[in-house]
Amino acid sequence: MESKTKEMIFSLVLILAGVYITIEGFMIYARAASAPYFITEFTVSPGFVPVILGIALVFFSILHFITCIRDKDRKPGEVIKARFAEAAAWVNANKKNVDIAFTIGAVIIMGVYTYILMELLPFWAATVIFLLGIFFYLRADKWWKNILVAVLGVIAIVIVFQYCFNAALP
Amino acid sequence: MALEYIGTAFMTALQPFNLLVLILSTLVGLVMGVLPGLSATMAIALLTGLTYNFPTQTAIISLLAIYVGAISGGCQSAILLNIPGTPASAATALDGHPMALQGKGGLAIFIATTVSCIGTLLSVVFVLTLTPLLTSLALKFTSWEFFLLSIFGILICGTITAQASPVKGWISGILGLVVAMVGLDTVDTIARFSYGSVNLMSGIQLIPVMIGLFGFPEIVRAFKRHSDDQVTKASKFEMKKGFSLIFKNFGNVLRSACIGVGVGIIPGVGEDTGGWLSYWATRSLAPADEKDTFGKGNPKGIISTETGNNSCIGGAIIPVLSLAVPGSAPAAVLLAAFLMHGYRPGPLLMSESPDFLYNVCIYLVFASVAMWLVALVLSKLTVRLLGVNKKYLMPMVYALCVIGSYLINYNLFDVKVMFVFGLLGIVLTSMNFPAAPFLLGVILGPMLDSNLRRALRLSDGSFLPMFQRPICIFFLAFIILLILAQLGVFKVLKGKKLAD
Repeated sequence: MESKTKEMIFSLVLILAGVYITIEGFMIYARAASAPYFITEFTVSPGFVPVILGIALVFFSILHFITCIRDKDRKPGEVIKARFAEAAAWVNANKKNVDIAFTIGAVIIMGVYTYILMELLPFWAATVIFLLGIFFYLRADKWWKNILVAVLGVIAIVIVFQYCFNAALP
Repeated sequence: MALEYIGTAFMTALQPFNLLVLILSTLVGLVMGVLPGLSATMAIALLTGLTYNFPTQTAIISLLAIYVGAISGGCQSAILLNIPGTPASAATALDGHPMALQGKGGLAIFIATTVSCIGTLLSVVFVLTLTPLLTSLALKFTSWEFFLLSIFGILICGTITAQASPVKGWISGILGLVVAMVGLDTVDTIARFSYGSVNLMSGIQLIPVMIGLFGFPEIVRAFKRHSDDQVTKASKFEMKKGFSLIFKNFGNVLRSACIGVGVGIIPGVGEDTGGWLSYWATRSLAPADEKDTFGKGNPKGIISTETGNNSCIGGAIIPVLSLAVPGSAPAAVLLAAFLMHGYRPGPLLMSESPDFLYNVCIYLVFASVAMWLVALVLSKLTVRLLGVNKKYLMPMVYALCVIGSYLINYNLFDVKVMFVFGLLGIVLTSMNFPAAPFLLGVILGPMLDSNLRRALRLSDGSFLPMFQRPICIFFLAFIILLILAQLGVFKVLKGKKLAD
């Protein structure tokens, strides 16, 4: 996908984010203006800076959006249509892209380690499982080497941090 | 008094345990610098949490040694592999790798390491002289100036890091500022963007954000890389020839050091810019017949780049100490580490902890000398180090990222934050949005918010006092001119004039 297309879509997301931040800023202002705070002056309210940031984000994202759709030979509407068509074609073409799927798989393993294994198991156990999982997934080397590196790696980490640095691991 | 502080710092650094930590930290920094994908920011961010249990001075020595080591280590892979270990050494590869191909890899590494050491040492002189000056200027700052300084920092960082499209850099900075708004606000303790979560109410910690933004994308990128890069072996150092070359080019060294320090002082602009600008200056000032030799193994290219990027270290520390505004991304982590270890950098530093400036300077001197020695020894092993299987290394690094994030508060929530910001880092990288302004936004957000609202509270909500202060007017004029210039307003006006 052309970088301008990616950036155009991203700038639309940013515009939405900016609108949300502005609205949330006003809601913070409304909360601060009521009991027990009674901060009614907008400029000193905790919602003031978020509102300004939201507006600035919308403004600069619109500027960026305009830059992405600027084309000497075509009208803006045509460019937007063409860019969305290009994005859709890219998604269709890359649905079965092995490289992308492979990377996403690795990120999912990292996510499982961070959000699930670390919550349920002690650090050493979670990390051994994670390292083994990702080494085998990435086909790092022979199976016995993967096991050896995972186990020795975790032992080294635990010795260095828990015993040398006296840090309590999760 | 200053001599007493210097003497005490000297004695502290010479303690056997501190010397051992200095050598080990330099080694860790160098190894992380040598390995492509592990940046100086990541090195300091990772090790900050680990130094939490160290005595304060030992921790500061360790962090500064890692900083110096990581910035300097990048040159070895740039020379031997043609892949800079850190972005700071990108320009080193231009002349360093051709030298290695010509069988002068050892000489190139020796020159790069020696001028890196000299660059850091020269920058210490600037830290010693400029920090007190800037601190006394900063004492005249009121809330209005600090508010404008934050905006100025983010704008200039965004402009320089997102060269082709400054708007992207500014958007990145705004996103960082929004992240800084999460949690209880510092003036009225009202929860913002917290959604009832107790963890979010205490705000987003800087270190997990930093590890996520800078480390995570590099780890993930390594998973899909199928690298078959050839590592060139390092030849003999040829120390005599190296020293003679450096001596002959000492003017180049001094100029590059000044450029590096100047770039380092600018908020958020890192060592890579310092290296490139120094390289560009040397190439531009070279005689016409010599210009063509740059990029083909001219040692002057290495000398300027490595002096420039290493002198950025001192430059970046100057605003950290005097204004509490980091000069580069690694310096931002260093600022967080200083705060974590009980120091409060900023205008009051010279009155609250006058010894700290001298400690930092002496530790930097020790770190640069240690780096020179360790780097030359390490260079013999670099070829092996660069051969480490990334598919083993990067998951291990991720486990270290998890520990680094966790140890800040001993809270698993910070690890999850690191992961989320890692994904955001991937998105920003793939959209060509620079991460440095984002980080600067997270750092400067509280300063911007609290100072603006404090100033407005004192003026009953009026912005008028801002326009009545000379320093504010300077900042305002600069900010407006910068935005207008970057948006091309002046070009349009010029074009209209010409058309008329």
